[in-house]
Parts: sequence; structure tokens; C-alpha cells
Amino acid sequence: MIWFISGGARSGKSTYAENKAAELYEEAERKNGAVNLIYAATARASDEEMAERIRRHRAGRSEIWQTIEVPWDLRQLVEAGGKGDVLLVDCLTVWLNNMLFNKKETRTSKLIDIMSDFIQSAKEKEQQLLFVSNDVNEDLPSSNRYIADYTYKLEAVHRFIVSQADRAVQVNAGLPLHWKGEAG
Amino acid sequence: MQLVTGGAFSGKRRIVKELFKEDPRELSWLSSYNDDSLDNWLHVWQPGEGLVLEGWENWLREDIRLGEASQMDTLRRKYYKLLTDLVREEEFRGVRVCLIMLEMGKGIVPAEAEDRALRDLHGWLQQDAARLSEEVYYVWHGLSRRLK
Repeated sequence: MIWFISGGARSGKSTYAENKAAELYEEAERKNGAVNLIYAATARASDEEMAERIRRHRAGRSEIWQTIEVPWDLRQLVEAGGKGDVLLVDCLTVWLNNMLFNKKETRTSKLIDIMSDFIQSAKEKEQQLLFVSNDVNEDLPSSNRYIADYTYKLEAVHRFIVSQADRAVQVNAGLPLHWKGEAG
Repeated sequence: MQLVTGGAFSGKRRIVKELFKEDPRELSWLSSYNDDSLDNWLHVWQPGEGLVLEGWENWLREDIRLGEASQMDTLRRKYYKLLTDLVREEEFRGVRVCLIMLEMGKGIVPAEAEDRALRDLHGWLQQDAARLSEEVYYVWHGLSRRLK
């Protein structure tokens, strides 16, 4: 099952996604035996502030989690994940930034292809895949063309994932608003 | 009148096309992204067609640049009158008018005065449009939710 979870900064979207992933993991363990709960962190500790943010996020997760760094190459995650695993990708804004900044892929249609392949492989392995992202497109449109282009590409990725998702949830002040799929 | 609002590139046009799917009539589009002038709405609107207006932030920015910040209330009234004219003409013609507006009020306060004026006026315009519309939709990453 594919989940898309988004919201504003400090809206509680990561916490919501982590709780949901842990819930899905426990359910999968009961049903299918041993599976993994994998946290795919797209952010790297590039400076002290980022390191502190990562420490805070890590400390908040219990030992049932395996954390792997996936700055941009989602194939790493495909290889790390086994059948029935629960994968949480946090978050897409940083993933796209890493893709573009490191010039791994900048074409919108290719970014969608990469995401499509990733989702397909997760479906084949019967994994639960949760994406976390940020609603950054409701600000004043930027006159900086790089920022406008980034917003365009991020939205293209968001719309694609939402179209593929079984559940799409917007988190406001920690509370889920269910846009797609049933509540719960 | 219908209002479709949502963030940049959230898929608002596709939602509008879905809203008009059952309506066999063609649509006239007035778009600031095609350099259409807002003053031309009556001429662009073909007889027997629905009308879609999009890119309000560009029309507002032009008006702000022509005037002064102290004319905020005048501008708000000008746009409110236009909305009521649209509603009247829509009833007279017996076709539908759809407004597409960009949600842009969820960032930090802009540093430039012109941007602040734009954000304020656009927010008021959206509120006025929502009040005058029978249906209001909010678009989020390709999905839509009816708010009114």
C-alpha cells in the first residue's frame, strides 16, 4: 500500500507518518512474521543545525526502526527492503533538492519515471511505502526561476505519487485530514 | 459562479475541466498567463460558452504597480464590483463562470511592500469570490475537496 503524507512545517506530519508506519509494521509482523521497519532519511548532516535536527528525529524513534540514508538514490532502498517491509521516506522536498543540486536528474518526466519504478518495485515486494513531504506551493509565487522550477517539479512528483497512492493525508497541527482512502 | 483555489501547480485546471465535463458547451478562457487583459472579459466571452478566468495575481500586481499602496481599498472595491458584474452576466447568459485562484497566503510575510500588498489584496479577493460563489473547491496535489 502506498501512502502520501504532507503538511506545513512542524505540522506533525513526520510524527503522524512514523506512528502510522509503526502501526503497519506491527500489523505486518502479526500477519506475516518477521519484516523490517525502515526509515529512509533523505537529509544528510551537512551542518550542525541539520545534525541536531537528525538527532532529535532519531531520538524520537524507538529501536524497532532501521535507519538508512537515502539522499537521492531510491534504488538503495529497493535493495535494502525485503518482501512485506514497511518503508518510510522522509522527506521528498529534500530528496528532490538532492537530485537537482547534485544534477542526478533534472528533467521532470525522468523524475516521475524514477518515482514510478520505485513505487512499482515496492508493489512487487508487497511493501508498505509511506512518503512524507511538505506543502511548499501555497506561498507567494517566487520570482526566482530556480525556486519556481523547483516548486513545479516538486508538485509534478506530488501529483504523481498522490495519483498512485491508496491513501493521501494532509496533516494540520498533528491532525490528519484524509484526502484519499478511508480514515484510519 | 464557481471558485477553484489551490497552490501553484496543484492541478487546478484539470479540476476545472472535470467540473465542466458534463457541460457540452465550449469554454472561453481569459488568462493572464496568455497576456489576456482582465478588462477584455466581456469581449473574450463567446456567446453560449462558459467563462474561466485565471491568473488573478498578475492582474492584481499590474494594478498595484499603477497605483499606490494607499489605494488598497479602492482596488478591493474595483475587483468586488467586477465579481458582481460577472455574477450578473452569468445569470443573464445562463452559463457558468469559473474563477481559478492561486493560494499564496501560507508563507512568511514578504519583505517587499508590493508583495505584501499583492498577498493581502489577493487574499481578500479570494474571500470575496468565495462569498459570491455557489461552489468553492480547494485543490491539493491533484485532488480536490468541496469547501462550499
